[in-house]
Amino acid sequence: MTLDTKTITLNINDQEMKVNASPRARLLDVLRDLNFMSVKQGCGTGDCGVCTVLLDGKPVRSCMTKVEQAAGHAITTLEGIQQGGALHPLQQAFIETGAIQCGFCTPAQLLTAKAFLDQNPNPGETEIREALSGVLCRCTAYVRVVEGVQRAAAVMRGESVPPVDHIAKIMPEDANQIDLPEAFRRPDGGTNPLPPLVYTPQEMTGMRVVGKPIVKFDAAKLAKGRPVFAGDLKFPDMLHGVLMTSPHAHARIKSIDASKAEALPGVHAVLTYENVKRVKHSSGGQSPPKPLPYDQVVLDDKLRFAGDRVAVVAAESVEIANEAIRLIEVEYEVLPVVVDAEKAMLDGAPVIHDEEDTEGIYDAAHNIVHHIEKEIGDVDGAFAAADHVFEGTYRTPKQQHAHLEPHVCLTWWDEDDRLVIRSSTQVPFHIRRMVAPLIGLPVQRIRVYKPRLGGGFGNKQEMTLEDMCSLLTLRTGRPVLMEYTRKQEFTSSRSRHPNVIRCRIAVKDGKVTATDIYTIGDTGAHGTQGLTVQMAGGLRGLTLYNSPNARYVTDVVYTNKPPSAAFRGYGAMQVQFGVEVLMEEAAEALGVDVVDFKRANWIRKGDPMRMAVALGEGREGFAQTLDSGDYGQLLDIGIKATNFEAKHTQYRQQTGSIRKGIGFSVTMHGSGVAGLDMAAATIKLNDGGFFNLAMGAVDCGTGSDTILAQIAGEVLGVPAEDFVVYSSDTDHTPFDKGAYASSTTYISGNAVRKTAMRVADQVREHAAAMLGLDDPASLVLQDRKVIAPDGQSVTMAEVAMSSLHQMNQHQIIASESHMSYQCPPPLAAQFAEVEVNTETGQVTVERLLMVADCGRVINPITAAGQVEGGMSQAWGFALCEDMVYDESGRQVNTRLGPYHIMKSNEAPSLDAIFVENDEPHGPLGAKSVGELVTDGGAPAIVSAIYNATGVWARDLPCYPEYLWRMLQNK
Amino acid sequence: MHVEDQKQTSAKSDGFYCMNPEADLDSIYRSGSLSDVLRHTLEGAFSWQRRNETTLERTLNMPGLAPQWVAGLLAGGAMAHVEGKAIPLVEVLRTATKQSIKEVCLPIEGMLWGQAQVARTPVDEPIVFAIAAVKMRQGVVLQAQAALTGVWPSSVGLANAVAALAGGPLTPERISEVSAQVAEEVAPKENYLGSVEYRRAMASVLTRQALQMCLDGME
Ligand code: FES
Ligand code: FES
Repeated sequence: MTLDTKTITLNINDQEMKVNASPRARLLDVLRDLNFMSVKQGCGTGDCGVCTVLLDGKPVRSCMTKVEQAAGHAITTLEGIQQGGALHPLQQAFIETGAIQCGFCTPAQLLTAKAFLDQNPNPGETEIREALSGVLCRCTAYVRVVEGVQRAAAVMRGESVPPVDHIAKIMPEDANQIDLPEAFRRPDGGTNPLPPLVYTPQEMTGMRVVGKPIVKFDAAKLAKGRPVFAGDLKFPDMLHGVLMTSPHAHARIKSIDASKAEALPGVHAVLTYENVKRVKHSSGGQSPPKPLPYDQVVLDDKLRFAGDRVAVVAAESVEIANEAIRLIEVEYEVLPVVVDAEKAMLDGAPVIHDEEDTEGIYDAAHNIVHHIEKEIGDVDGAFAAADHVFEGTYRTPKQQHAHLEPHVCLTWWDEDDRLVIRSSTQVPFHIRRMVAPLIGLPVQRIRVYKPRLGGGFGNKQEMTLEDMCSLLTLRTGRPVLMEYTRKQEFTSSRSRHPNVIRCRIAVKDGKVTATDIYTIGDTGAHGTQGLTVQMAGGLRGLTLYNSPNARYVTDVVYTNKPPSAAFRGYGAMQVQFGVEVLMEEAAEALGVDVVDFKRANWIRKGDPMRMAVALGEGREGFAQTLDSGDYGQLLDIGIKATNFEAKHTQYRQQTGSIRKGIGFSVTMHGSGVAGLDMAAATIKLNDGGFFNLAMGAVDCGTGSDTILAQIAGEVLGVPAEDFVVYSSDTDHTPFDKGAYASSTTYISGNAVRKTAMRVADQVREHAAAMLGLDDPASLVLQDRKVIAPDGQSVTMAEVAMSSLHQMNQHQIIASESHMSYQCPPPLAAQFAEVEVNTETGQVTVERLLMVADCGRVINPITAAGQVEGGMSQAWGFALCEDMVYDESGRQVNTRLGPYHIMKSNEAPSLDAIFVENDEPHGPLGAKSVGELVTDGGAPAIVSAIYNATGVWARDLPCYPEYLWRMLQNK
Repeated sequence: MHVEDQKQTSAKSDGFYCMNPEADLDSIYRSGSLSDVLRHTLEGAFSWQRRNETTLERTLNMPGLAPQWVAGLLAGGAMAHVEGKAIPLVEVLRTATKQSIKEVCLPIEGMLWGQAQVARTPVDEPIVFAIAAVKMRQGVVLQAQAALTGVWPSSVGLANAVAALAGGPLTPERISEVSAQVAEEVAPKENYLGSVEYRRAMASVLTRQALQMCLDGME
């Protein structure tokens, strides 16, 4: 007990507990110390609400509540809401409706909803949204959360509720003949959740497991608030690692003296550049050989952004570590700063990487990391011969992932003296390989695994804490837990690459004959992923309209800002924004219908993707064609669902200060990285006829564990629940490159499908022997049985019993891997409806509708969750999300409040319609969906703003003042 | 005009709604005595959690915690009871005597309310916010006040120009006139969300829109 601690009696979940704590301690910390791990920390600054608990039945933020304030009141955490061991109706409803993706916000959402329904058993949808507005969710856009609360309220009122399902329709030959449910026209507006709508061609019907809205495997444990996240595990002798960050955006450490910090009782290690080996590397979790430059070291004497690493401390508590940081004496030589990428390229700009041991920077003196020029056809000739040339410059923001679980890493020595890294990572296998040389351990002495992940969106594709945390365990011999603060998530982790996109198109006879794109990608202080992001952007941006003559030039540029890296959308979001808005501008200038203009030019099924060879993943790519999909189908359905043509015409006539607008974009993404991404899986049959499915694939909360089991179940003729899934552990699962590049459904899914097919062969063979048949290939696997043509059958459990114990005993097991030279693009038409106040410049988005072709929809609820969450991130990219820097290079909005992500009570209607197409390379016809869903929001919103006001918002985010100024100058 | 029981959060009397400074904002929000416009300042960007945690007294000590709410109190002509005297809240907020406020009373009868704001998104913290309250008698403005956020060196302030509406009818022309004067009066600080010029322009636009909403409420 320290001096100011005292014994405080708390009533937690109807149990009286005595704690020794400072009365000023945060209730959040006290509850987590008492192992109420459902209580989460997302910010610690009062902005996110994921720390919510109930105090006398009312929701409060436990990070803003002192423990002394809670004494004498009834405290309820999620652990306390189950009734006699049974799930609360809210928990049940959240599980069923798909309200839980990563689940990090779920305990707070559930508690807030419970308090609300206790007060108001029959609420309206708007009231639910208002009640939940204090808890942020970055994954779901609240659609299924609201549906979950509505469903639970009905159950609690004693009403019967139907099973949660999607709407399945047959896709007619002509998309204009579709049977569109009236609700999808949103005749009365509103934001009431709609079920996902899936159109399937007749020839793709007949699946038994795939295509069904199966509940996510992890939903129940997340609904119960089980301690499943990286930071939920504790060791008795665990130390806390805390990072000391640079206050300067550009500086050199002239001297650093950690002696006072080291002498502080409770401090066990202080790492600085002086006592850590200098090993050059790049922090991006990508397959080797990773593109140069390797411009990072664990700790450096040069600091290149405010938030850069200065020192790391391991201590008995976070408080002691922070005190130690205050005792570290650093003398800085402050250097000139450049935060604007275009200025960074000028003669005389501060040189950010002037060190001699970094190879592969294209032009260090001008901060240009990479300069790429790729061209096909005769671009200049096509421009010279064009009837019209259009060009525009577009700018996109430095958007932060804002996953609600910060980066967390826990490291320890196991009983075999192997280092275990339990991390909130999307790339366990890359982390193992990357950490090894930095800490001087052979790869085989390291195990990396990922428990549940509280959102990643690409940010956890980087090595951020794992190297430092591991070094602290090596130095101290003790388990060490490190966690970024929310401020550090902004200042020290990663973001989307801001881009300047200069686009030119040549038009002849209504056709785009050439496209010329120049981009500047602001990679911040390090080049990690800069090359691949910009090349992926060029590939998608140029493939959309697939000009026969195309040029892509890009400069990847250093600035004194935190590194940019992978973020859902990965360059495609930025470049397609420029291309799509320019296509709209061109149609407008030509006086032609924008739908017709795009329709005449977009890529069609069977077309070669012309830039696919020139623009691979940081190197030459592979020849590819578009083998499935039809933008026409998607657009026609969206036009019908939004009444686009009538509104588009009508809105042009408006004159008042409050104006409506409608717009659309078409967009595409990839499915994995061609010729590079590889995944593997193992399936084993067990006693009782159930299977283990082990795979390296990483479920970031998207439901990939579940959908991969559905694929395996479809092949093996058993329900998905017959699989015990274990994923992403370098010791216990086969390899997978990790969750990025929209590869999980496609690459990992194919690995699972191939594995399941081999197991199915073994099952058939054994069953044939059991049945005395000599043609195993004639047996059908269905309904947990192996059925012969003559109707005889054995069950999967009987096959397991026989093969393991009775006849020709052997283990039915297989492993397979998959790599592909094709990365089939999923396609989408994105619609947006807005209201603009022309007096203030404020844009309010009223509806976002995505009509998506992601091939076969493996699970409509999880797929819709991707669409809804992705559109909400695109909404932020278009309207508000930007990391803003002052002239000294310090970010001014390092809290979630001033940064601002979507809240439940401002979400527009977010609707998902799927049109299935059979992708020949995909597992059972599937393509990806995870990133496609962010790409089209911004150009559709900008198109709608133009429809309302007649001005083009070329720079994002579209802050009110920016639009207001354009309207003033119109 | 007093609160008998200190545990009671609020009471209505004599056309006033009186609030105990120790009351949490959620109990005030749910009291049913606030106009929809004033109630709205405790929703949107202001969550249920924050209402539960925040007392009226805290918002008076730190108006930045709930600037739109405090703006509403100022526009509505709230009176603070300090040492037996009723003093306009706006004066109390300029002094350091907030601790001794016994109750805050808000005129609630015959008030027309209006508000307008600009923000990046519907429930983002407003860049500029205006709230107006007008009391009419026989077609003549008896009292009019507007308070704004986002346009002063501190978080909240009254726009004096609006008081000039008193004594005449409430018409679009007079509203435009006083709103234009508000732009002269404000003293904004710029930040990444809005320049001085923009905030000044919005002070005028939003005051006009808020007063127009009062006028619409009259019709
Ligand atoms: S952790 Fe408490 S509000 Fe974010
Ligand atoms: S499910 Fe809400 S933050 Fe992930």
